[in-house]
Amino acid sequence: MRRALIRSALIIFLAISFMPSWAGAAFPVPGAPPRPIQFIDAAGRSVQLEALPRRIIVIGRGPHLILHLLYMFPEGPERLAGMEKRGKSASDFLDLVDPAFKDKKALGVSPGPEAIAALQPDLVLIKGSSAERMSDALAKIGIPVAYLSLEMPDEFYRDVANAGIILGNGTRAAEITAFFRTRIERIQKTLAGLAEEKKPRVLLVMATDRGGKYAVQVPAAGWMQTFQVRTAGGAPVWLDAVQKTSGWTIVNLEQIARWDPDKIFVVAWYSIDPQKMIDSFKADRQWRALKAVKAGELWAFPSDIFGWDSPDPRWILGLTWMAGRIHPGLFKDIDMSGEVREFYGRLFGLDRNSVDSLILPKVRLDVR
Amino acid sequence: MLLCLAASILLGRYPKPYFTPLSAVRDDALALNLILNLRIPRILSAFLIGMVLSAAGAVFQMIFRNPLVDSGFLGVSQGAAFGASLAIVFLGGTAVAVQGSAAVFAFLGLAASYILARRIRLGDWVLRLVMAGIAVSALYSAATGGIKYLADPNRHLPDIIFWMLGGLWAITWKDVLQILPVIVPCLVVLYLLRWRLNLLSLRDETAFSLGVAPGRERLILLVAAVASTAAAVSKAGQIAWVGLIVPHIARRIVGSDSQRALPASMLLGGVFVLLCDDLARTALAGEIPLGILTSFIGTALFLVLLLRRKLELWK
Repeated sequence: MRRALIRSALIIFLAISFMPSWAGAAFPVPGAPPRPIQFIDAAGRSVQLEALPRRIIVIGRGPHLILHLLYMFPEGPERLAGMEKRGKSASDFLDLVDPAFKDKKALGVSPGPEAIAALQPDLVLIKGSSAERMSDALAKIGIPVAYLSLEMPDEFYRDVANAGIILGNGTRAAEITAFFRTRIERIQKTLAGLAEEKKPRVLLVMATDRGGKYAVQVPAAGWMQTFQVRTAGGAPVWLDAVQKTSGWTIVNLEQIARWDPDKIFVVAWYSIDPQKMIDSFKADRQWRALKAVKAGELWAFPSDIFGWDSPDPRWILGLTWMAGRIHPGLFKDIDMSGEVREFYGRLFGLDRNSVDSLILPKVRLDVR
Repeated sequence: MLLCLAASILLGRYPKPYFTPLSAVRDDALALNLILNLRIPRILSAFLIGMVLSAAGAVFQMIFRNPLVDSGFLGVSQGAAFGASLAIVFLGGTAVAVQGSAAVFAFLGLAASYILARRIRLGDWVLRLVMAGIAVSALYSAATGGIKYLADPNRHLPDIIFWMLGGLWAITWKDVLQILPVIVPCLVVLYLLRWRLNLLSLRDETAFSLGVAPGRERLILLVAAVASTAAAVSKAGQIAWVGLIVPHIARRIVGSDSQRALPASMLLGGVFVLLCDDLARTALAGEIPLGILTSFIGTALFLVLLLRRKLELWK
């Protein structure tokens, strides 16, 4: 009797031990990659995970960029276990998409490995294209790290694909990529055959008053803003000013006067009101002498809760808008309100009423 | 000096890089506009700031009898950095708040060093002031580090770093008119009292016996040096090495007598910063931070000076 009981207990024990693999085989998750998962991240590192991560932490610069990417997947909100909070909110936008977002665990600025480990993550995501010391420190305590760059479209598509692998939803990753590619292809098709000399000379600058010092800066050649101008059918005039592959470069008004572009787009730094900024430029004697200002082609770059110029997924909205302003005759049919509804509806699952009431009122469009 | 100023007016990026022909000035309204409203105030600011920083450096080196001191010695630069950081993080970060706060705390650095020096009971007055200055500078640096730690890394921290870069790209006539009432009287005071520096560099008893009131006159000179430096730093940010290296070059040319060395420092400092700023705004399409150029070129000149001195000693 006793032997029979022990034998039964052993069989039950062995059955329970092997059950997860039976469950996996019997009930495969649709779209899930085979385990273990592996991918090459933005820093060129091979990331190997034994299973799909269930608890993901986001740290580093611009955490909202990765958070917005994760929230384009239905699994994102559930898998997000915490994030570094670099400011009063990790994202001013995700509260609208996920009411439970505010309950996510927020780490302080520059959390150490112990603080990160306390959240028991299966994976830590960091924005960047080169490995930092944090990944070594976390690797020593067995916490894997993956980098996401998001800076340029090719990097963005790769990072979306990697997010699909991480979240076990390659299908959704393909949908997201298709959303962006379709819009870019639409613009490129419309502009196909446009001769170089027909492309307006465009200047895109960021106006800042950091540290109380007013400055006008141009983006790096390899950045999203430069890509947006080129793809929208403009000829960027500032590329000879860019001595860095990354970062903003200060330019003075003499240089801008020398370029004298056909169109000027100004990204207003977060603390600057776009309309006031444009008005101050138009009131300035030197700025008024520029061809673009005289012709009414001085535009503030649009934004809603976040700007449409940065590596945030909203860059596709910025690109679409810019194409319509650089070549208004070719893109007469673009309806930006419709584009905004499509963007938030298909990528973040917001219905039309929510977009109309929560997002569209915040959109600063066509400020000039 | 006049040649440098005149040449600088014709250097810029419009209508072509580097040199603006006189015909453009005559025929192009925008060129004239840019020169009158942007270049000239910037050139004047660069020159004045250079004069101030090197005069202050010369005064500090004479008073403290130490060839390695400059405006950072009494907590002036560090105080300005602290004041700017405080304004950026806690006072809204507007231009007025940042510049005002930078100037106030730069001045408070001197006041704190002076008050602390009076309470120290160790060594002579100069030694006490030096020690107090080091302590105040260190305290300000630590406090600035604390503010950077508390600052929002997405917003305030880049602002603080940006302010510290040092540059004159945003200077207009309004800025020049704001600093002139402080800088010009201070430079006049320093110029008129330059000959007293020779006596103040002696021991207090010796200076007193020669008819100098060392405490009072030292204070007047320091206040003039620090006030003008505070005004300059509040507009331009941190510009390194000018106050340290230019007085040495001036003394190499005209000798150590402060009657000649101080005016020479002023002129050379003005020309040095002016030339660096010309390079910063003209060499490339994008602006080069002025602080980087003064550090690079100042360091190179300093090394040349050191090596030449060594060679002369060998001879």
